[in-house]
Amino acid sequence: MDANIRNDAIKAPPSALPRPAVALRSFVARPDFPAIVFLIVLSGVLLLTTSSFGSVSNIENLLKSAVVLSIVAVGVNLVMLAGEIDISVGSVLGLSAICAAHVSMSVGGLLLPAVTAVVVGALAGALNGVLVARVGIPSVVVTLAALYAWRGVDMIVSGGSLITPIPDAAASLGKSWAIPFTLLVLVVLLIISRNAVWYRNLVATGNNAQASLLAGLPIRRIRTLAFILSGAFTGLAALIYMGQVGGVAPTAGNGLELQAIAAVVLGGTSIAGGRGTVTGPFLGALIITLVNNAMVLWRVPNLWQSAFLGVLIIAAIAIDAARRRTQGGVKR
Amino acid sequence: MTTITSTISRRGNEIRNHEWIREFALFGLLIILTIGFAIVAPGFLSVSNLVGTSRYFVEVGLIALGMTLVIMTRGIDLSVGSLLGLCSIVLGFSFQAGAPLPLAIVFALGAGLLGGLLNGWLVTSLGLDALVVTIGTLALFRGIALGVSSANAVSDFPDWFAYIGQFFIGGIVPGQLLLFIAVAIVIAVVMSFTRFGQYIKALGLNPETTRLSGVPVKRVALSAYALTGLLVGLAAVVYTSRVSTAQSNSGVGLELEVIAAVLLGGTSIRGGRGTIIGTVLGIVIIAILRNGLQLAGVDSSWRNIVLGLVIVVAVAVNERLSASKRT
Repeated sequence: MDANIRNDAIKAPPSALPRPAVALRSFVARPDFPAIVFLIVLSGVLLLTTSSFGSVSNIENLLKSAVVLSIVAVGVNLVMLAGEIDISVGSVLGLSAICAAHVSMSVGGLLLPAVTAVVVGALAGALNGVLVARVGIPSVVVTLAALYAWRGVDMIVSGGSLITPIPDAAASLGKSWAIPFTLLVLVVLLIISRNAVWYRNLVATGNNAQASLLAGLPIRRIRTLAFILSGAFTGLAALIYMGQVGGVAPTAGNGLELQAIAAVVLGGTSIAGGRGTVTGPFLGALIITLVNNAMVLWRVPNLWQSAFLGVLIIAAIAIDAARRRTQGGVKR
Repeated sequence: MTTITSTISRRGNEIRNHEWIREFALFGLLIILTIGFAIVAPGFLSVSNLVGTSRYFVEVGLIALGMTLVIMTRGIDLSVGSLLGLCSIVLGFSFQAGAPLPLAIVFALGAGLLGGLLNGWLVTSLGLDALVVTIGTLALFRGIALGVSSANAVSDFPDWFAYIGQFFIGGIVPGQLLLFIAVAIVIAVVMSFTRFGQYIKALGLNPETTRLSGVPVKRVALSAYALTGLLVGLAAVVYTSRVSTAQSNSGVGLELEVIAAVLLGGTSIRGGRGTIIGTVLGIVIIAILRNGLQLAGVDSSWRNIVLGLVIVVAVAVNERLSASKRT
């Protein structure tokens, strides 16, 4: 019950205020409110300071380059809502992409490479999930180990060289359909987050695992599911990545885990679990892409990109912590 | 206060028994690995190889000593690899900009300390999650190192600088090995015989009780991060001297080896339990694994896989051991 109220802050407190004020207050209380404000301000500044930002082609490129990150972040977000963390997605994306690239070159078509990418990702996620939920190893340890172990596997299965060119059929999703596909994912997620019981259970588990267990929720299965979904989304992203880049290197997805966690945290999902929205990661991914774009437009050497990413991550969790403190009554 | 101390020491006794078993098991593992590699990899057991290997683990080892304390306080520091790169860049570029080398070394140590203090401040004073904070600083430190150096390297150090990382006492024993042993002994003594050491343990076993007992918990945790940062600075000096180059991608992925060594050494990721002797054994085992696999002709990609497996198995065994102890 508690979880439901806190989760989206949809239910406004009873008050004598007029309706619009209540709506405004609940909007401000949304976990992703700072992300929305930051996104609008940054876009405004970019529109005013540069001439090329507002062009259709720049916006299109921007959205395209946010696609892979946002789909990976969506999966990581589910794990973080469940109160765990997944740092392995960078290497898992590489693994899925390499396997899918092999399949697309030997079998062809779009369906089989797609199934391969998603299944490989889901299996890697399932391994994380079992080790965390069944064996009881903390998710930091499991997914950190998995990050490095899968990168080793990536080097071996790719034969250490770039796999290219990707046949047109398999590349089509990433090349032509990336943006509509992402919108579809977004819509499906929105519907799920409003209706699906398992999503509510997942958030409840992240909010208070003990209470969820006592309420009879299968928390182990829920956590495992979160990791499997994270892997599956990473597999989907791998398929798009493969099409967009046109080839898969053994190092594909290197460092993506940092950006994905940054996107989730920027999107307002709390690191403590149980608080966040399903749309947050999209906003977070857009912010990261926008900041990178801004650095190009403002001619900041891209070597500084990583430093900005670090500042964004720290700022995001500091803001989240401050908001939790002022809103009160929240855990810790 | 007395009841709390006695509870801690009673739990301490139980834990100590169980740590002896673990350290004994680790020592057994070390011997088995040594025998195994001696059979499959000729040249592994030679004095020059074993001593040579010890040069490489000093950097990981120094950092792991600090990381043990951080993990014991229920924290973690994923930024150490990036901070090593940043310290190395600070050393190289302040030297290139005209600072005398001893001063550049001090700058590198200072950069490490500051980095550690930043992590510690964000975690303790702002109460932020250690994992995400250090993921953030991992990106931040590497980004600053890249930005400041513009991805260039510095390598025209004077000859005497090489002594730090390339000096062999009596022609055999690497100089930095003595440095590592000295630091390990100091930290082990501090952990066993000082109030600070007890505070670190207590903080990991039960932060709330420790705080209510009047222990300055924030300052204690902050010093664990600061110490780790300082040791990263020291490791960066040794590393830069050993490879005679300061470049921004130094220490990429180093955090994995450091954390692997600490967890293998029996420090609990849930805090409270851990020993310096255990960590030292963990470091030696990982160094032997790495060197042995290399000599046995195993592809370097496998090293990542083996390290990953080692971490997972070590923590699984630890969690099982402590779970059976608890009931």
